[in-house]
Amino acid sequence: MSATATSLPSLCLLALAAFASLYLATQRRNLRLVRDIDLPRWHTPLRCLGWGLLATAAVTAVITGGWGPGLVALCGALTLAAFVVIGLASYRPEGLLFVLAMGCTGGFWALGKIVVSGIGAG
Amino acid sequence: MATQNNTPEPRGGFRQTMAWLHTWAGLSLGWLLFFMFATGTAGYFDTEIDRWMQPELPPAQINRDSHRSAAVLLEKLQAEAPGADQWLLSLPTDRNQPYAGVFWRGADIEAGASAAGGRHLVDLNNGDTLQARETGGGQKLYQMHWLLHYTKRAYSDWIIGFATLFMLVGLITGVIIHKKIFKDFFTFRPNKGQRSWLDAHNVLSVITLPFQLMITYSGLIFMGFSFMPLVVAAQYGADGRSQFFDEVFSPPGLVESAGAPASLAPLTGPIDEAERRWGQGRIRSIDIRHPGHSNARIVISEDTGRSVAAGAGRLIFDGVSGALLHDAPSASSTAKGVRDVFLGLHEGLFAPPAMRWLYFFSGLLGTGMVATGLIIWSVKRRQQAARKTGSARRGLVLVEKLNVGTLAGLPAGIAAYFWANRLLPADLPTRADWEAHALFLTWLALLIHAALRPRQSAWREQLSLAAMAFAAIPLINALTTDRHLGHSLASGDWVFAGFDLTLLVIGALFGWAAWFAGRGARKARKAPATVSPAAIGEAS
Repeated sequence: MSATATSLPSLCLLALAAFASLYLATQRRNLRLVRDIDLPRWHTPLRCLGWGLLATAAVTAVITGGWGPGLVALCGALTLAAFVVIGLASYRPEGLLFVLAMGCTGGFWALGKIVVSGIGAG
Repeated sequence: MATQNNTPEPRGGFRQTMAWLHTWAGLSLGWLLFFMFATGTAGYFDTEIDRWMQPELPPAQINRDSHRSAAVLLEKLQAEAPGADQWLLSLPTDRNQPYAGVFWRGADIEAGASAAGGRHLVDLNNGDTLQARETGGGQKLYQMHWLLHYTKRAYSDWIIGFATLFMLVGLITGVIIHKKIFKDFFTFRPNKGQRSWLDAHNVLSVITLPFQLMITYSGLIFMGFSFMPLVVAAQYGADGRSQFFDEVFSPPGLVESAGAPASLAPLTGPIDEAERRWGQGRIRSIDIRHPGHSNARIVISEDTGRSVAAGAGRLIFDGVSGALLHDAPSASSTAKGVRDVFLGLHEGLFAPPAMRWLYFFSGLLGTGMVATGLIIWSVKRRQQAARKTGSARRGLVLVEKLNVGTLAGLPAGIAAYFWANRLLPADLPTRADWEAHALFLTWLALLIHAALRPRQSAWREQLSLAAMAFAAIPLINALTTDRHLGHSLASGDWVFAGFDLTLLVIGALFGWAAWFAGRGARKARKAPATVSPAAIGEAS
């Protein structure tokens, strides 16, 4: 139970990054960040990254929370993340690269902490 | 609703038929579904709302020693309810039960009982009854979503049963007629009138689809015994319903009272045994049947917070010897286990705070899904009417009026429920009833207002009213209690701070919606000759 609570932030961040990269993998136009990024060239890696992140989130959810609370937490995190990503995509698409980077970093950092504490406890 | 066909009628292919079904299943009970979603979503914070509505109560008294809590409660019942048929001691375990409480029935007034039956919350610090204003609280608010408040169970069960069934039909047909669920997953195109409403409806439905399917299907399971009485009757006979419920839901091994007096076994043994099996502090209630009789029983129920499944495991002890008679896990059969899981998922009582917020958020999006669905119906037909005849048909006008009066009027009514809690006199008889009357009277008044006012003015006025009504609640709270937002933030009183801040956010969202509706109206005024579809879409 408490395991689900601690893994929830990491689930939300991983889901955010996953949906951000899956959205970017569908975009034809270029994104202007520091310099133009030619998005179509990155479609395949972005799609792989997105599905990989989703799989990581799903596995994390089930391992930390079990099939019951874990899947509930996963669904909730996916709903929230999809809502945020669709909002950004509609109004502030430049923000998505930031969300992708932050989501990956934060998600894996939080996940790492859970793993380390799990090893420590085990 | 992803079909481009503007007149979904049952002709042509499978998709068209499904689109027709989706439209009419959604519309016919759509306002009731909106009511169920809005009040049901509030239910994810039922006990928090309870506590906000009784500001006199002290901080939660959870995580106490079960032995001490039980002793305090038992002493209170012995003094107040001698000779009772049942004593129920509720122990505060988590947010679902923040205070201890007692309940009794069949007490002997001649032996000194204060009343034959009763219930109150008990302060564990001194054993006093916790006194607070009379209120329906979050419990009454969320129970409206299935009791419908003014109707009898015999009617409400069937009404909400049909609404839930229509909702399930809406979900399934919605998935079928949505042509590109994956391709359009991220698609939302703002400022495009009807197109934007359809996108919003699709996005809200698709991203909450697991939640929607779960909540709707489990809602039907709640009502299963009312909906399908013949399944029970086939096994237990036409009069066997109560026997069936007893077998499935009552603790096993309960017996009728026998006259021989005998003293009640100390609770220490049963409590130790229960905590040894379930863990410290996981006893939710101690139910004593026929205390003081030779065949007394002590039923100890487990807290349900540890797993998704609702339904508590129970241990049944002999009330005189203290011996364990039965160990009855809630999932007495696979079928009962499956039911427990669906009910638990629906109620979300297991959810810790962060997950509870996700439940609440999903519920809000579901409410928005119903609202956008209702709006699409009217936007689409308003556009057709503008193209063809220039005037709207009566059915369209009715739907538009009901949309304003419900989508904006009901939330304003919910705000009125909270206003009434703070502003009604504390000694008003049937005060809790008047809180609920305030909700429904406000809703009724706004339905009448919507009927009388032009469509766009009605939207703007009612959304503004809802915005102000919600935003004012923290202010009213500050004026009528000493637990205002500044105090609750400073003292870490997250129940009060969370409530006040959430209502401020909801008020701001309604303010934004009012601005949005006003913008649509301003656009429409600028181009009155050629009515722009976008403007209609935004303001409808």
